[in-house]
Amino acid sequence: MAQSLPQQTADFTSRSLEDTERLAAFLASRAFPGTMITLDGDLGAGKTHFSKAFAKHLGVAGMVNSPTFTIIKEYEGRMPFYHMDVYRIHEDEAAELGLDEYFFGQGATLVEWSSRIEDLLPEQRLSLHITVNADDSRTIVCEGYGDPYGDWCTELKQNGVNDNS
Amino acid sequence: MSEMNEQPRKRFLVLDTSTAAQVVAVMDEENVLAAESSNADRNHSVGLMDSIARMLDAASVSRRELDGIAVGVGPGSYTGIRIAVTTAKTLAWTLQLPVAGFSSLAALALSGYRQAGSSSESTTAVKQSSTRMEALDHGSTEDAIHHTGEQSSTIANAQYDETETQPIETTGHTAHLTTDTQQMPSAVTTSWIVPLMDARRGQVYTGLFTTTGTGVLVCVEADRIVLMDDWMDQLIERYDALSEQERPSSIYIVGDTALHEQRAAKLAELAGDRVILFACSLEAEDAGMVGAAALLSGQSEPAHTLLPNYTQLSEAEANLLRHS
Repeated sequence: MAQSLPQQTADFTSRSLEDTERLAAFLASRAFPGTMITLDGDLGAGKTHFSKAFAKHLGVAGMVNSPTFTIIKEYEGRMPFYHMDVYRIHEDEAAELGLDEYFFGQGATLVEWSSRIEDLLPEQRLSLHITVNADDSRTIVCEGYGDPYGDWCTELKQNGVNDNS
Repeated sequence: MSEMNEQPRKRFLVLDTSTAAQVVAVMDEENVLAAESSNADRNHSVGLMDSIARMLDAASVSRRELDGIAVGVGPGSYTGIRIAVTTAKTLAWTLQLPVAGFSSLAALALSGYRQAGSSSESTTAVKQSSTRMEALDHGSTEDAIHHTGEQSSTIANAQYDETETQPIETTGHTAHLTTDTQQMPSAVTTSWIVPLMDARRGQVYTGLFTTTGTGVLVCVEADRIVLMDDWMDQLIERYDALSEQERPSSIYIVGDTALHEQRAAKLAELAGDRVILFACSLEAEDAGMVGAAALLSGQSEPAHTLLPNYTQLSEAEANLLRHS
């Protein structure tokens, strides 16, 4: 699809669940109302693990489950957290959900399997792709479209997740 | 208004949650018995039933005394629309009442028109406080005629519950959606009313309504979702095609105007200070009027078939927009 916004990319290698959590914490600390993050990767790649860690560091108390069957779940952290899993729906069904009310709303949105609704996504967003490597480590490709997501990627590339925020 | 009607007057419950406003009205036909508008943001599901109970209580109408339910079917917030529509359908089914859908934009148009031009005097005040577009083309004489002409019908006999509702102006130029045959449809200048609900990504939910000189709002361009830029172009084209006599004396752009002032300026370049931007929310009294009119004109349908009107883009339009 045509992406007109400037794009920054950073590759993050995770060798453990803790590594993945550090990336989630890095991103959660930067989240603002209207944050839009997409999360794609094969089954078992660690999407749900990332989501749980992101929610935790956004201040969401309690259990965060994969919303595969509910499609959208809302939580309260330091801002609302909208967790979506659009694996089971088609784009035309998704269009009837009024997703823009979440994407442009007061919380941070994380969409798993976002490639299924690519045409409905806002242009400005952070895209995360998790792939499983032969040694069982994970490569998480972070692509930032527009601000501030591009800056986040630049920061990741320069300093990694070890910042003092 | 209905002195000839010897049948018992009908009581209606009217709901709308398509915008941030949670709107409940109890009507005695076209008269407001009780009405409540509150800013629920995204919490309509929490407060709607309580508000319904409060308004029925304030109007001293039991749910068994209701003769019909009317509900705003959108467009607007998808989640919001579904809350009122589901509530209305459920109540209509369980109470065995007719249910009618009405355009939430029609209610917003009425709210904006009633508030923006509530009388000649207050119109002046409103125009000062609202964004009056700079004039290239003055229509002030016609404006005066227009406002005199449209003060004819009122909802002065509307009753408002004093403890539970926001009192509204009951004087001044008023629009309602019932026909008033006592007014001569002379060559009275009309107004355009363009209600706006922001639909994000530069889009609006909107439509075009006109006054007829009798205070009645008529929908001339159906509810839609459209890029505000394109919508202004369409209105400019429509305005341009009319002779001076046919042109509206005022164009009220009402509702979520804040985000779209720049885009509305295009129309003002052509139509000058006839264009009046007026920020307002959808008010319960106006939803009540529109909803009651729908029920009185027999627009009810079975609870199972009533559907929201999201005014989605066609697939082709949606694709074009996404890739543009």
